[in-house]
Amino acid sequence: MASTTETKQKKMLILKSADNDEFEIEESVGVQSETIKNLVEDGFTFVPLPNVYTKALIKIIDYLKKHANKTDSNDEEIKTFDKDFVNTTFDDLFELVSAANYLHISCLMNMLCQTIADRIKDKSPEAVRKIFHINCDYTPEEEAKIRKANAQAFEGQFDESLD
Amino acid sequence: MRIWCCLCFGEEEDNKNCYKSMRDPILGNNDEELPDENPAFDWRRVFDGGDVAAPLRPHAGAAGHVGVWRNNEIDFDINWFSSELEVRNENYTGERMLNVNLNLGLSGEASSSTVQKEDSDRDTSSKRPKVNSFSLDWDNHLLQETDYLCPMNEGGGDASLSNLLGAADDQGKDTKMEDLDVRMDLTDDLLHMVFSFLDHMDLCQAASVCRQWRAASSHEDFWRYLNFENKQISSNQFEDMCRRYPNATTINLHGTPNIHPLAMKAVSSLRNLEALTLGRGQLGETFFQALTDCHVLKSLTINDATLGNGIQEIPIYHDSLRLLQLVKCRVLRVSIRCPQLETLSLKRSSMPHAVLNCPLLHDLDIASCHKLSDAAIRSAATACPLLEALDMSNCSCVSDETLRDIAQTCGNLRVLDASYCPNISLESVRLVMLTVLKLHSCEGITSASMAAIAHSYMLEVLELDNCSLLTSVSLDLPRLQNIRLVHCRKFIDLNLHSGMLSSITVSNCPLLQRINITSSALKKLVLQKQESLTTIALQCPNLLEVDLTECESLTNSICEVFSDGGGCPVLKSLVLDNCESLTLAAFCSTSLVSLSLAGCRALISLQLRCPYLEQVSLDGCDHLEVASFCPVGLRSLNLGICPKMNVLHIEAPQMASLELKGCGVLSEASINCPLLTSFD
Repeated sequence: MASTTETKQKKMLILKSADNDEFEIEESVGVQSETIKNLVEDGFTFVPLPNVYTKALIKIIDYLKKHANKTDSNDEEIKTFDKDFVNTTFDDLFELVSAANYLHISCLMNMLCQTIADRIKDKSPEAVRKIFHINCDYTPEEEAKIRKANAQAFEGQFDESLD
Repeated sequence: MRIWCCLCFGEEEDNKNCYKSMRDPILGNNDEELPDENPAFDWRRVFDGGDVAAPLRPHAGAAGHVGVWRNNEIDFDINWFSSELEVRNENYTGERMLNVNLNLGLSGEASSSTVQKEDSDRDTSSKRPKVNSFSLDWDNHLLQETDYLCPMNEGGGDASLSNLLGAADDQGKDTKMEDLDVRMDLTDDLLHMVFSFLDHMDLCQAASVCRQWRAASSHEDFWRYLNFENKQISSNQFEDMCRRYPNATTINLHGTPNIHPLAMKAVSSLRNLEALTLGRGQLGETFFQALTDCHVLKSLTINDATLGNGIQEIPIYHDSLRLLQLVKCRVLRVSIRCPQLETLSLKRSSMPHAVLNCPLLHDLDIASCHKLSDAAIRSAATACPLLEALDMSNCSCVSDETLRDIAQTCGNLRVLDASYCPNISLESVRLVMLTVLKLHSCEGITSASMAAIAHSYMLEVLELDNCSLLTSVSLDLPRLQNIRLVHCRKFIDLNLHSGMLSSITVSNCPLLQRINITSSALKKLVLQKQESLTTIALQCPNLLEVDLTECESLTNSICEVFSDGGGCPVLKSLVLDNCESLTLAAFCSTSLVSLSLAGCRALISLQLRCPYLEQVSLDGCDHLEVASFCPVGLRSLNLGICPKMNVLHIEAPQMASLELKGCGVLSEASINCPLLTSFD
């Protein structure tokens, strides 16, 4: 938590998560999110985020803080941070991507979407369904048809793991 | 009606999404009150009707409770409602479905317990982004879905619902299911973003997951470039693709079986086609006629194909084509009339005749067109007055006369590659704008050709590799930066004056004797294994490094070149390894930091007056008898490797370590090293 003198120097924002937890961050950190930026420009310093839960918000604030201090010299450090950041479960990724989308943080969005895309690339449809909690809504005939159409294209083995 | 709603909404989806996300934070508190008031959560009311469309109208009105949405069109509410349905769809089988049913059902019954109220709050807020989740297949799908759901709802009274609740809790899945709803919110927007990182194979694979994914993966954005390279695609399959993605802009059909019908299909059905790549096979004349109807085509590449029946003239007339490549094609005669064409390659094609009518052409590549006659090349190139780059390498019949005509008509020619053209000597060819000239393996190029090259005063790059009759090069070109002379068997004399010369590549010229270079840009000079080299003259004020390894004919006079006053005032590093003709080496330089004389077996006497010299290598100088280091900046020195050392003078103010072990015949030594700490 910043000391009082610092608070005077730097404008602070309060973010409120969907589970009613409040977080104080510097304005310069927060405005990397377009959603927050728009509110700040309208004069808000208290930002309720009813679509972002505390767990995701903590991670995202971490990310914003790290990226707010971006210079040429800590480029490697940020890369390592990003790599660790996305090295998590699919469920966490989905929560993060929804939150990042809601907050309009485009660099984070790109990174998360790229990560999800990379991780579902070689998965079998069954594994993907389990990961995304999707029920197959094709009829068996339709599925067989699609499989047949894809059969030529895919010679390689699918990855059946769920992480 | 529903389809219309969906489609209509689809177009507005971005605006609304935006709008919503702007408002949500402000309306956060309002949202919490919604479920209690909102009849949308009473599923039975909706489903019991049996007819899907019927309850929608009243419901649409009811959903207007959702504050801000009231102002929007009614479609929005309908979709919001249908997206709620999707939650069921995703979970409709077995226990999962029951669970979800339950949550939704209970929340409709007002807030009987606080826990459930929270649940429903969560549901509302988390499902709202789902507004975007629908697919075009939805309608059809929904009907099936309702069939499944109706009996469930009828059978499930309040009592059975609470039983089910208990069962779900026992299995500890209740909370998990809720999280699941949150996670499921990969809306079409997000899915689109994720899919934008996938290639076509992965997209096809994604399509087999579910209907929403199929709809998302077949978005036109991902299918602008259809690459069928080396794919065994049939006519029907390709037709189907053309129908599905009529706005594709780039098609690659190289290596597909039977390219002609596929190419015909592509040019006739894809109105926005901008780039087409074809190859391997036969293309009939009709294709080239059909091409004119493909109005926005900008780039056409045909690789390794037979054009027409091989004996007729192929006309390529197109008004917007910018790039045309007919590489390795078998054809007798081509006639190209393309007023916008800028780049044309006929590389390795077999035609003996080519008629060009391309006034804007600036890049022409006719490399390895062996059958193209001298006259054909002349008429083709001179038809392009704006030509800037011409590659005619391996066109063995090109004559000087043709080059003279080209030089006259193409005043802007900047890049010329005439490698492997044995007949050209450049006699009275004046290419004044030329910046790059490549003349590899041109047997006609001799010392006399240099007079013609000297007229290209803009020349920056000159390559004369393998010009076996070239004996001397003497050029004064102010902009020359890069020159190559590799494997010039009779080459003797190099004389270059150029303020900008920065790279000199000379190697394997066994007769090279003299080098004279004046350049203020040269920083590094490497001339290894030039065994005839005897004379070097350098005026290079910025030269830092010189490597003359294995120049076996270099004599003692070379030392003057690299000493003060020799023309290399800032030389830092000098390598003279294995220069076996050196006997007396004397360097007096205030810039030299590193000197290597390794393997100079004939060296007897070494005199260094190089106060900044920090490194010296004398490995293998085993005949060295007299050495004088007065003064040098060396910190350590090992002379134990010079067994015949007789007279030694060292004055090294920085020297800390000196080793003379093994100098058994040392008879005279003066050592002035104030910092010496180790002496052996």
